[in-house]
Amino acid sequence: MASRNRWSRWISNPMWFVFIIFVFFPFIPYIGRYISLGTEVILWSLFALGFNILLGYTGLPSFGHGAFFGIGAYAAGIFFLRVYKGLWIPLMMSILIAGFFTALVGLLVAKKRGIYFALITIAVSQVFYFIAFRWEELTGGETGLSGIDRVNISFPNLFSIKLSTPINYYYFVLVIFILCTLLIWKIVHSPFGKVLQAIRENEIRAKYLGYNTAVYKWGAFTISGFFAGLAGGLYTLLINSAFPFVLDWTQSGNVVMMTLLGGGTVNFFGPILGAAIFIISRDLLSTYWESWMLIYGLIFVFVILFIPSGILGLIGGKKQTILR
Amino acid sequence: MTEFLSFAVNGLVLGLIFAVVALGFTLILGVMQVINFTHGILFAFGAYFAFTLQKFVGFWWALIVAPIFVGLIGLVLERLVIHRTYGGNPLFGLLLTFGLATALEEVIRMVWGKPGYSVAAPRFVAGSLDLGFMFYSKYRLLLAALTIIIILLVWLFLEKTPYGAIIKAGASDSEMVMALGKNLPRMRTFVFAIGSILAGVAGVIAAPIWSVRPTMGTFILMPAFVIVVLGGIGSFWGSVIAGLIVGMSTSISVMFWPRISDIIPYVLMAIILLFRPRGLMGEKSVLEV
Amino acid sequence: MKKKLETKISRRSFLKGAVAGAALLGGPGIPYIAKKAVAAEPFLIGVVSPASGNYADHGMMERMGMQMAADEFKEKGVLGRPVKLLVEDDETDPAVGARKARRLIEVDKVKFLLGGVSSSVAVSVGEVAQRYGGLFIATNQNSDTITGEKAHRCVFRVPPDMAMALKTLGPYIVEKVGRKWYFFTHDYEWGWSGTRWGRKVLEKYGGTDVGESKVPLNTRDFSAFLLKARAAKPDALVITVGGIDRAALIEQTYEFGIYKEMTIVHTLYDYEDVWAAGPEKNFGIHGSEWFPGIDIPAVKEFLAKYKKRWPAALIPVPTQDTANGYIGLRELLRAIDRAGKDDVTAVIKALEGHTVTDSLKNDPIYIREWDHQFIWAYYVVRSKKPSEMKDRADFFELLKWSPGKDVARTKEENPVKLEPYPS
Repeated sequence: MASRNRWSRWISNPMWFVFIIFVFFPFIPYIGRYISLGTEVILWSLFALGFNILLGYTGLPSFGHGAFFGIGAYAAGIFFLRVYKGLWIPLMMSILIAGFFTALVGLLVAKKRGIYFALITIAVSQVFYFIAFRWEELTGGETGLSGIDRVNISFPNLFSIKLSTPINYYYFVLVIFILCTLLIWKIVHSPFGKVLQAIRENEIRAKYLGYNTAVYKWGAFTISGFFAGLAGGLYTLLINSAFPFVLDWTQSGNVVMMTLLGGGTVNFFGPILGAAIFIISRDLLSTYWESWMLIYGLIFVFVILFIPSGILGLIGGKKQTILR
Repeated sequence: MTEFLSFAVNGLVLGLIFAVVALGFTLILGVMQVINFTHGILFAFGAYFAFTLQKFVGFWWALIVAPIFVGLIGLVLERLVIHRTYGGNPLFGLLLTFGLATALEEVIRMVWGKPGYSVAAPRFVAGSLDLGFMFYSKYRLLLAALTIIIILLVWLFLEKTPYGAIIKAGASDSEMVMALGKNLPRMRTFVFAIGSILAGVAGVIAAPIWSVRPTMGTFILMPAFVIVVLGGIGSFWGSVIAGLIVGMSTSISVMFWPRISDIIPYVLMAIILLFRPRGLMGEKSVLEV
Repeated sequence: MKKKLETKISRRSFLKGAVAGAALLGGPGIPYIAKKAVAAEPFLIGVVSPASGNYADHGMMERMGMQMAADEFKEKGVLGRPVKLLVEDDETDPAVGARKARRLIEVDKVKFLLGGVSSSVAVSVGEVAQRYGGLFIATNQNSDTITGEKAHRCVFRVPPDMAMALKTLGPYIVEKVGRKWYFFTHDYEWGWSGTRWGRKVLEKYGGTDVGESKVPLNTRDFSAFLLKARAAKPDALVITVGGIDRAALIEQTYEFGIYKEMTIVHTLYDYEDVWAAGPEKNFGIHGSEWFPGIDIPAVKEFLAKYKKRWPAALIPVPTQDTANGYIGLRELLRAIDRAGKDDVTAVIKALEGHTVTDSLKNDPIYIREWDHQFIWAYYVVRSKKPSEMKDRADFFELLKWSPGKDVARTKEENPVKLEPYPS
């Protein structure tokens, strides 16, 4: 009896709905042609989902996560160009190195909260941005790195998948995304995840209950960093290049916006919806109107003022609690 | 040696411009807990208004009138939109003002166009002063004088007038001020307008040396941010001193290793946040949770 | 009261969200699709150009030039089809530029792209073109790499590189201004190439390098650099600094009066920046790719066409970006006509080795086949004093020009190897 309930809960999980949409996206007439945008939506969703562990679940507003995305992006690029022209190793490096730096920074910020947390993350991300911009020898400076190919996945004697075609890469990223989404789901539903939410609601009370909140916050920070780095690595492979602009403050602001817009503060899937809407509409906006920045800015204003709980919050009728 | 002196003076002058901008920023942050990302665009508006006004009334009148226009813009923004974020999490204000700044940058491009412009400094300060032991641009000396006067005026206002005293108090503790029964909303609008005026006047003064472009605000926004945190949120002297520190460190690091001159302010900021979050001269504020 | 993060939302509300999301996307999407259906098979050309960010003004000028070229093909079209420009804003950001290029190729099925004022944008768009089988004509960047290390079979470049600039300008400066040079190098690839070629020329002609300041990108304050330069007492201050930084540099060169103590030399002086600075702040001897005061009939005609087409333009004369945008698109369209088919390899071959007789400069353009560089003249100009200017836009006096073939990089100087033709 119990197992059937569990099964049915798993099957009715909206997650499958999301996956199915992504699987069939390339087959949608006309819009489906824009494969690379689809790939971008997926990897930004991945980034935002991981980020939401920190923002939505733990209530910590990091405005510097663009830096970790960027570190992952550069790690993959640098490793590909200078060390080993493979697929898995650069990706692994993007996860590990970004995770390493996030863990380091996390040590510094774990004890902070609220605005000071935000301020430190901005400062730290700007430091990384300037390093990427100015350390020419390592990062290629303003021009960045280019010529990063997507190597085939080959099982010797069996088969080889050519990742350089856009659609193959799309599905590759989708598979990784699916695995990560399941992983993140498990994390936020675990006891660890519950403690995070407790910290979000009332950190002092959580402390009194005996939890070492700093450790949990550090954990959430670091985990989100791993996903940010992975997304960065995937992005580098998508565009075959790495640029310092992805570490800019505005990118960090973008991921916060995506997460909020979709309703990440009240819903697990908020970040995915937010990433999709944000990226797609921003792309369309700038095509249609030369003065798109005006509308873009006003949308920001509108969302913050009138739908702070995001779209899924609006629809689901839930109120978010971190932006009181 | 002459070089070093000139660099040092240069750093001070730069720091003074930063200090004026930071003063406005810190008042807004202290009194309303709003991280005002429109500060950069208000700075730009100052420069653009000066450019337009200068053609009709010359530099000096532009210097007086342009900031007033910027103050009006700030007032409108505050009354229409920004006041809705008060009392909430400061991140609200940050994202909101970020959106406004983006939109307003486009407005500048739409109104004045995409090309760059130039603002002419007054004739009598054209060229440089060669004192033998120091060589420096006359305009910057004028700039230093103007900024010192402005900073002095702000100080006088905060210290010597009753209204200013309330604002000064509000910058460290707005709840207390509310309890004193003063009209908080009006005061907040006033503070935002003052902050905008300060950003605008800095824009006018900086225009002849930095040139007028839509993206010009981005160069003082982050430094303002850093200075305010370094100096202490809501602190007058904190902004001034931290402004000078940032100006000096930028200028002197250019002497030795230009590439890192940008990073130093952030490193300083990160250090302060970790070891003395309230800043050099800040008081323990509501923000320090 | 327990507030739990909603994790198991009802399928209904999720569907609602998805529908709302789809509506938001479909909203703008549907007219876009409709727009496509109505047009009668136009020939699509993609333009990736900045409309926001630091180079928005340059982007504006080059798009105006491209539009002028497109207008000329309005009657006959290309391969019998009307020309349609799909313009995208690259925001002076290489990641955005690359995304727009990919979208033009993937979704709009465009094969031919132009634009990319910023060098890094051009490099990233060029990569996309090469990888996805498109053709990209870089219209307005001057760093060596686009036809050097990062040269591709599918990329062509219209404006000159820094070798051409300094080989024309350098000898003149050594001879007429002085042998002692101080360099301002914008600390990125383009700046380095300008100073590198400057040094080569200086050495060849027996001059002295009295120092260099590397100016980081996004420098607002040049006083430290100007003071250092002054201390070195050069004859010429050879500046390879561009973009928004150059604007501040011009203001401060004037402010400190440095131009009175040495000759200011901008190795590649963009007309947008001269215009912005104004007649008072114009001084020195500079290198220029193209300027509206070139005294040949083709240019006078171009000016007249520009005034007619853009009477309300904020800058009343075309700049080098306008000229390059015009030539870039015009030659692309002509090449497509010559190729006779809508095929990238055929058009590449039609461009390679072609000579354009009606260029907007004193010499014809030779589109070099082994590095895809447009070879044409470079100019040395003198800044006019306000009293010498015939009108508000008459900033330069021509001092000398070199034909492109005399100053372009040789194969030894540029050992580039292009990929094979796309099949």
